[in-house]
Amino acid sequence: MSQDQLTPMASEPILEIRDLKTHFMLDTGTVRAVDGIDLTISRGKTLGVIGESGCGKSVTAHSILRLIPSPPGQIVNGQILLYRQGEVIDITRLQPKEATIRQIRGADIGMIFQEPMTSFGPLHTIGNQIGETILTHQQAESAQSAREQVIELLRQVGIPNPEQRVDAYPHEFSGGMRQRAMIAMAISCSPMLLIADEPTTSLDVTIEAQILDLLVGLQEQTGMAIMLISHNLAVVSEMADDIAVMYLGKRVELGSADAIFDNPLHPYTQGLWRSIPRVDGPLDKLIPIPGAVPSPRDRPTGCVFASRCNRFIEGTCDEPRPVPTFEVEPDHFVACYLYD
Amino acid sequence: MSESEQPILEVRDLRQFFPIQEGLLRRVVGYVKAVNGVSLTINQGETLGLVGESGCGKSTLGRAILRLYEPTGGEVIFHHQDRQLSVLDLDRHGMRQVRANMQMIFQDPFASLNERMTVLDNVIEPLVCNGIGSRPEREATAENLLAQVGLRKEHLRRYPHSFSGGQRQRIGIARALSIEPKFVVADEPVFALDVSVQAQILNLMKELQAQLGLSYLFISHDMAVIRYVADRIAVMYVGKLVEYAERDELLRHPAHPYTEALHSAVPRLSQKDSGNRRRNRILLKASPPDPGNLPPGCVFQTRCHYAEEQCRQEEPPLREISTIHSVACHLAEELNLSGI
Repeated sequence: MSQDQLTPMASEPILEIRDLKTHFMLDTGTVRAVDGIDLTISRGKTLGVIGESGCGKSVTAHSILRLIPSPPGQIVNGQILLYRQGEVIDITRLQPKEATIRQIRGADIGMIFQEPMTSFGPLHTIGNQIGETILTHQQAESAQSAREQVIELLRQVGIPNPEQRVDAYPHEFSGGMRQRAMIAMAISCSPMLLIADEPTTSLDVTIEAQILDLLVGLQEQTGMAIMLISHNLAVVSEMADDIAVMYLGKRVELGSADAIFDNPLHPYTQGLWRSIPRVDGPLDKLIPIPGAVPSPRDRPTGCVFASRCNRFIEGTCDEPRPVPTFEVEPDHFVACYLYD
Repeated sequence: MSESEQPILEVRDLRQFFPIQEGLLRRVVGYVKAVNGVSLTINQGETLGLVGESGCGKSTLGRAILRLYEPTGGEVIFHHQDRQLSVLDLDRHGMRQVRANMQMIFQDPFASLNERMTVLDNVIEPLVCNGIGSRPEREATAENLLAQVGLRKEHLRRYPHSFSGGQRQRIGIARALSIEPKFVVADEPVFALDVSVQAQILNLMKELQAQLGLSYLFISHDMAVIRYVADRIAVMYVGKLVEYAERDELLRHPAHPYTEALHSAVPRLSQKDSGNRRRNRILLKASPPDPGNLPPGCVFQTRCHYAEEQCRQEEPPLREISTIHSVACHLAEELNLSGI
């Protein structure tokens, strides 16, 4: 197939999030963790989602898999459309425990979490836990063939001596090895989409490099899409095709990785760029963003970034209404009045 | 620069071993060699960046220098008013005097402050412990310090829980500086902070250093952070310093294969000219050795791409290869390693 024939397929959406709102109803008030975001993940591509604590990036991921604890959490608005084999499923309309969502979790969408120690149960071997996923989704006929598949998966993610390691318990694995096992489990049913929520945050850089390379290799082999959630801008810049920047439950900017890095538009994105130390390039003085991320309980009523913004326009940015999104250049969106 | 050539602290062959005990009688069956013969010098007014991955012993080294542990062997010489004090030989009284000049800033601003004490009491605690000043004098000191770290006077009466991570770290810094130390060990001081807040703390630490003539041992796993703050950089691997050089020299011309691998693993922000965002990384094999069971020869030989027979037998000493550069590698002169 030539490159031209591949292109239209490449932008085919696999998951579309439309105006998603996930709120938590607490005794002390409603926390609007995700407050009206739109995202599209295309087949075979990597969408990077960056943002600091409380921006709603993990809640978005958990909403996709319907893993939001309810109560207090609830998807109060929007659609999450999964495109699979000619049908479109709105995940927000599924019951959290019904068969369809259980099938989607694991089989259509795999997920790897930040802390692999708590993602595996301590009482069963790694092999049994991954094997269970395979059996649950009827990807193997017997426990024996599931076990063989697990060994193959462990080999694929680069775990040495998989024939022996398949019988090891999670505590016998190092952090990097557990994260590999977690990836093996997530890809065990060949998902179309892998959600990776801070997949390397607790790992050392040399191990992080191994894991990121592994993800890139798997994507090349299987053509799965990846939603990579991270606070580490450099990790996202190396991995993502498109990047969404989130702040306090809002998607403030979206564009191709090149556009986001070479021409950041939102004052928050620009501020992030000026405030991160770099390992290469000129050693400029860092210019921090003043203040701290406000608690989700006292969100500014207008633009969520207004309280820390250096381009704040009085009478506009503090107006209690949602900030519209502008397409400043093709496929580069920003929610900021400066571009009105 | 003449002043900065004056050493404030010299560490010679410092060792910190922890016994591994087994059985009913808690028999000592071996030692975890967390710090295994480290020598370094920190000059007045300079920052020595100490970089390494988890478990390499960098935090233990910082604590052993302050004698928060009782080191197994070696020397720590503190230069104080034309005198050279051997910290590890001091009695309680002598230690008090030295402690007043050596302080620590901790990693986790949520764990390092006493929640039951007001900010004021947290900040002046070192003064109280060392019996410095009267209550009104201490309060005046605290007020000044709070202003210096960018907090307000009225914050003094509040309790730590009402502050964000960045503000807590400011309080932690104010506390460390309350007794006017000359030397500060900062152990991952920005690790737990959001990226936009990191820069505030890094700049604050640099400003305070310039104002007060402080010397820092700045411990971090993040090479970009180390680059921003350090004058010289020491790289630690499994209890040993493997390389030690001026900042730009270490970044551009690493002479130890481990440093080269670290540089190669560090994720970088997208650069247009590099073309390919996923660079060819040097992927290290496996994980670091167990510090309780070290390999023969060089500590890095089990993961080194360049290791030869000599490396498996003889341990390379840390030696000077130029006036600004020391390295512990047999092959330093033969290898042509790539930097950042």
